[in-house]
Amino acid sequence: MNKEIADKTIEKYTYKIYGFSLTKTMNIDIAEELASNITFEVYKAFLKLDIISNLDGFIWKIASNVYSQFVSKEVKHRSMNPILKEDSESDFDEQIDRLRHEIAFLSKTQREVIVLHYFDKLKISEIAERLNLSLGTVKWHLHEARNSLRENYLDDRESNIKPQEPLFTEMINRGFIGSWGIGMNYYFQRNFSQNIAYSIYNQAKTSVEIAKELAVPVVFIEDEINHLCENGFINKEPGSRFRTNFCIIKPVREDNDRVKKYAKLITDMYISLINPESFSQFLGNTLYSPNNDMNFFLWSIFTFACSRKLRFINERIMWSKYLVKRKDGGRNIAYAKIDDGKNTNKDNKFKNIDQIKYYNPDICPMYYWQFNSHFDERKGSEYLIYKTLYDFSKGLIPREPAYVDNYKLLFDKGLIVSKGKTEIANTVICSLSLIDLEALLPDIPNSLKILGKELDEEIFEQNRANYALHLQDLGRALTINSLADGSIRVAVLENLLDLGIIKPLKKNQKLSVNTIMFCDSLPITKII
Amino acid sequence: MNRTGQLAIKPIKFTCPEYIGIDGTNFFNIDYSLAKLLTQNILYSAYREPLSISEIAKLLSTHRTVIEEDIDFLVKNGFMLNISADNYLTNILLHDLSFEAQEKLHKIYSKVAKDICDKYVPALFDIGKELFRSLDLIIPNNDFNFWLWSVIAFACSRKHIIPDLYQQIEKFFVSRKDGGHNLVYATVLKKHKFNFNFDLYQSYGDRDFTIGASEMYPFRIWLYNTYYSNRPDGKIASAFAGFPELYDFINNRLENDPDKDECIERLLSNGLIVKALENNKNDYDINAIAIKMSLNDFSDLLPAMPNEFIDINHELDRHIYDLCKTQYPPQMQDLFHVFCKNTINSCGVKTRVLELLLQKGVLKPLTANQKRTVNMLMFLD
Repeated sequence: MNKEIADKTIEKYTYKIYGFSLTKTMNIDIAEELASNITFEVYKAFLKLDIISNLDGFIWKIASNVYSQFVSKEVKHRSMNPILKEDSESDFDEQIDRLRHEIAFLSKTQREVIVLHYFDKLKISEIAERLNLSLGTVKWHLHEARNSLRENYLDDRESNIKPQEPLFTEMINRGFIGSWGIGMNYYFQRNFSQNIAYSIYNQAKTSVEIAKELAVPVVFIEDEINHLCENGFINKEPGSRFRTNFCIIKPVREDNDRVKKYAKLITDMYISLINPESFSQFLGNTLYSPNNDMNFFLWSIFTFACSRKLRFINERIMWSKYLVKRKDGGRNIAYAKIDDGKNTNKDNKFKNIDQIKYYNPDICPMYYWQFNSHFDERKGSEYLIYKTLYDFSKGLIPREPAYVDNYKLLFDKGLIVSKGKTEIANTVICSLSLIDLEALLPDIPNSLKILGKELDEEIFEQNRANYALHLQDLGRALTINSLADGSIRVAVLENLLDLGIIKPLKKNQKLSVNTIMFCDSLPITKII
Repeated sequence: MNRTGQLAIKPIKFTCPEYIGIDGTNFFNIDYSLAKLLTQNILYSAYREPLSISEIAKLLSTHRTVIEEDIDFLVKNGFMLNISADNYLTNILLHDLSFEAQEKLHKIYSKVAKDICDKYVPALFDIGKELFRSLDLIIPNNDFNFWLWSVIAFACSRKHIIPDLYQQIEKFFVSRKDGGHNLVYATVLKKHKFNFNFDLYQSYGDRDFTIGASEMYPFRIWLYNTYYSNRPDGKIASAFAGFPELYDFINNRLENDPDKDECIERLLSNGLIVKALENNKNDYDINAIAIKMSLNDFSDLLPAMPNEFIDINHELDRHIYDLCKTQYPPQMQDLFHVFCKNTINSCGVKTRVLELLLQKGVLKPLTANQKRTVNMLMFLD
């Protein structure tokens, strides 16, 4: 073999030979000496021979011989603790593989230094220049990297990530969603991201520590952390440690007795103050209910009243200091729920929640409030569907073949129903603003507010352990207005049904109940 | 040889994935996933040969449980094929060319760019000047140089030589689980030391798009992201950079918007408006070019590429295919054959045209504000 080929070939094996030496001696300095001896013998052999049929086997044999001679010589002079055992060629490859595996768990700089030195064959001075570090720093990183490799070499890594079930059962945003219209579930769609956030919820950790815990190489952990950091879900703390910046809550088993107790209090102390007759004068004037159905109207108005008035503490003010800015312009508080095996309400995670959807009023002066619960059988509630209903109610969708898709959409979603030879809107519509409608409703009495605050405190104490120490204040802020909790409002509706104040819904009413569309005018009545 | 930890020790990274075709309802999640380093390295690991989950995990130095959910997601959405019980093959087009091929391509693209500068840009310059005078335009500071940057890049993109290229590529579209029907491609970023500035020529998309319901926002955006433009990469970032807000701003519709302050902040942070130098501190100037006509009508006003480019283009396409085909795995070779057509309109050529014109002084350097919105046109119907 000529010198040029020998040089190139030996270069390819430098790293392997060092790995072999390190696993044999478990000592950095001795390994370097042994590696140097092996390299020298291999190189000499290369220059002597023209053809080598099995290069790996050839080098392994020389390495083993040099190692045997090295041990016999060294034991006479100094103390070392080699693992003396008979090795095969496959063990050799296995050990190298193991070493490569461990390199993936080094910190970014250590990994870069090792790769540049042993894979890309750069000198220390070249690495220093490439990474803009001093010579001493590069040497120090190299030394630390070798130590880490030695320490971790015998560790067995088991991943904590279980892919079958997502860790977060529910992800919720409070506040403003950004221009992308996406919430927390966008960033945490993978179990992998969820596990990272969970691993640093109670304690800040470095990316290397997270990597070891999850058995995922540091480079992939760092990439994920970067995405989450730039969107405010994880904070970087001193010492290059990371900590989750949102609450992860294990739902406490719903206390049915407590829900019933407060639902009864609300029914007795608040609902009783709402006089259905007072709305009669508005029906057909500023309020629309399909077929003037007072029962259908009351379902929505009672739920709306509970939704708005039972939130007597101003959430906007309470939460303002906890809002986190997202990359897409959103400013919100995010929190996730995890399943501890006790939560039996998995199918209802999108139930018992309110939403208000609106658009730029110059473009479409319509928005709507909605409460989802087990009482409804909705099939989608996107803004564009309601925009189509708005256009219908304004008489902007002619009864012509070209518009058949619009009609089909509204029929499918239950937002229009047939009446005689024509169609009518099938939801409550209000030409007052949401604030004006709210003003028509009585405020909750102070005695109920006191009970509400007691409930907040009771629930916070019950959940306190769920909130990481650095998120206790946020946890308390998130627990306000518990009186307006969706499950309590559902129980209020059940009470009202039992008392006969509201009557069961018809099938087509279940598609659009507990919805109020706010716009500039009531539906135009079509006469065919 | 596939080695343990190969991709964990030296992971590869793609440019932002690009899409041709129709997006599905879950497009946001798909795009976010494909931007992840772990996902990219899974795709890369099984690009050239089918691998089992355990083999992929070994390359990534991790457990199969960590990557199973990613692989499941990729298979369900057609980005990977489950070709047998536990064998997976990547199904997106990755440009992963060798150092030698990149060097040769650089020479080819530079030669074509020079031809375009010599034989097409003079006519384009004259028409561009005329349109600058005659069209109803919004141009920040009425800056002709800024206008020229966008007009030249737009013409190089749109004056197609192969009219049915989209139909040819469409045959390779993949149906996604979310209703999307498209083709995804990306370039593997290289750490080679080239004899040219590789990064300079990386394009992150040449696309036009509309946003939301057309009756609410009757406009179309065309943009081309390069080294010369300073704005976030990726389709989502482009689509959500605040164009509806810009449309509202141009049409004075922000005044009654309850989120006016947020909108202004978004427009400022994306460089679509800038604080006015004069007047009071609440005044803002539009920092993007808007043309009051449709994209197609504007394109029709620009001169066609010279006929002699047709033969040159065919020859170049064939040459590039022969040069690079072996670097694409068997399952991608037919697609690459179609994909490497139309060299004259390729991003590799366009950016070099801009570079040459800048060197010649036909184009002048851009200001920091202009870099936010250069090579971007808003077409208002």
